[in-house]
Amino acid sequence: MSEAPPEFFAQHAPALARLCERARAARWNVSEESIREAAWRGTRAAGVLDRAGVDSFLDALHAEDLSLAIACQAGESAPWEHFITSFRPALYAAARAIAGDEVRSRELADSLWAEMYGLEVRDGRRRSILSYFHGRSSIMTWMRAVLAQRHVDYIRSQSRMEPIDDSLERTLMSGRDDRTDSPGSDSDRARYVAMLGKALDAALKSLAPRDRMRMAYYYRHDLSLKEIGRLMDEHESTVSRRLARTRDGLKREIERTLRDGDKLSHDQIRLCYDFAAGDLQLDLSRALPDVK
Amino acid sequence: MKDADGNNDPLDAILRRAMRERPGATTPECADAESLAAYSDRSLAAAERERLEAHFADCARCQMLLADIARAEQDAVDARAGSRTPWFRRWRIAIPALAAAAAVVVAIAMRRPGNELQSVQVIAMAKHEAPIELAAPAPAPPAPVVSAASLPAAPAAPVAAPASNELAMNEPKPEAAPRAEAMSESAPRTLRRLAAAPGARAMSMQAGAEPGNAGAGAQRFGSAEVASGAAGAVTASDAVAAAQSTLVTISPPDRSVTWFVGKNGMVRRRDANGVTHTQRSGVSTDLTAGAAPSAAVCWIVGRSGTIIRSTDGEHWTLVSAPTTDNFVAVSASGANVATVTTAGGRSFATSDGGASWHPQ
Repeated sequence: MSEAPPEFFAQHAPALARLCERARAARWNVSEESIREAAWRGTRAAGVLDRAGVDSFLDALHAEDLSLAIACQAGESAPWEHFITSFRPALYAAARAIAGDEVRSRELADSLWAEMYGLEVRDGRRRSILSYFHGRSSIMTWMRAVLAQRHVDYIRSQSRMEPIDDSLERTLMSGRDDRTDSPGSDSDRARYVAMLGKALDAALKSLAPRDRMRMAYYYRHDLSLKEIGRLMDEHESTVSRRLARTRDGLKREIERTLRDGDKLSHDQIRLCYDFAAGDLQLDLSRALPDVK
Repeated sequence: MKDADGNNDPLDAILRRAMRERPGATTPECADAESLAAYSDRSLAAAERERLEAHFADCARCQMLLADIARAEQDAVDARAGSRTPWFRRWRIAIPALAAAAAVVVAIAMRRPGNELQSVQVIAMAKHEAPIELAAPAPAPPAPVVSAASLPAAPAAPVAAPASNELAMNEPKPEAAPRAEAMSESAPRTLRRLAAAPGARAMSMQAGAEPGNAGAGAQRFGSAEVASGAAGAVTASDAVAAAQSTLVTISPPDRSVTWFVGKNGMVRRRDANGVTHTQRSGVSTDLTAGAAPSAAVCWIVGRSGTIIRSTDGEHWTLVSAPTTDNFVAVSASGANVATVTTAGGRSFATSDGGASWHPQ
């Protein structure tokens, strides 16, 4: 029984026909009706509404991967053999690249295989997470994305168990580092760091979204210029140039705020940097609640 | 990044710390797996891409996912580039390596003529690799042990993967490790075979041991299936991958637990509910093989005459070894009875928990 409204098939018949042709569904004994149904579900999931948009959406689908996923959901042997042979080494390599640790990466990849096969049976049918794949990306990239989600969830579950450094928490609450009694811990230090943090927060927020993303990939996620370029569809040299430009602009903006807003001298601004960069042991990100 | 004078600017250190943040929980605005993948593949329409970027710019979680995807993709690209390296460049490296390997083979062959299998194992040890057992049976104990964990693994239970995104939120995930029995007969042959190692986790091929046999606990490096190239999913490249890994898995016949052992005395145990934790082995040598007659009893051997044993599944004690040679296999039928085999093919048996050993 089709879930899709008949007018969807009628309105987009040419685009659906092109999709079925590209899908080579007969190879896996997948019916064209199954492809069209999957296309409907994908369109609905992506929230594509206008007619021209739907046609473009259908034309951009990774049709062969979609038909393979449909065939695998049906549990047929031949497509599974093909799927395993084609993607298993790449899946394990991706898990290693994401998780780093060999044991953890195997757990990650094994777990995904299980979910893709779908061992849970509901209403007489296995439930496979492949049903969430609609062909909007290649199936390999989709598997990488799911692996990454599982990995991030794992990190979060682990970090919840990490003990919290009480003295750091108190420091953040009180606004100064009470762990150190060294002569260097003068009363201005926390104030300087707080001022710099505030200026940095404002400067980061003023950046364009793509500039913030580039900065985050570089400084937070330690991606290489090449990886950032691949992700943002920019050449490596462009990434480098834009990062440098953003960073310089950020610095100018921070110093302008400290100089004009907080009335700090050149030497005091230097002290702000020095305290924030080296002296304090606290995690500055916790002092910047609004910076994500 | 450095400033104009080439010095590290304190701002870089500040930015790294200021932007450090643990990934948050999924929000309704977070992209699902397919949107993240489509964004990474640049398959999205411009408007959709722009909409997502406005969210990504401030979402540490989505950024981290995209960064992971980018790393994995770059890794694959690098691997493909490596495999396309011209043959003459690869041979520039391979020729000296092959010459060195050949020298070792010749030296060993001269010392122990007629034992090609042992030579292969010794070479593998020298390269810090797990030696694969060739099709011919090793001159070793009847019930062999251990499989290399890099073998194609069975689908396993998701471990510590809390809910997130549409997949996680909408799909109840399997609670327990998939078992071969759980798969219907219509399941593809390859997948059923992969799942035949319940709990997990690595393909555990019992060369010469019946499942459930009391003497089993024992498997050997590599596996009969890998060695013989027998069957579908296990390819030659898998065998190579197995040989290149130092990670070894050990499971008792009932598969209720799994130990992962490897370099530098690493021992990790995964219990029946899928939780893995590191155990203190008390040794720092590379561990190469193991045998577990039960979930409580496990013997592990390694380089330089290392033998350790656990009789409660948790704590390990060093067992006095009959030799300081590298061990490559062990079989055991209980806490007191075991046979260990060196890379040179010599075997020693004990029936008193390692207090005394007898050459076989």
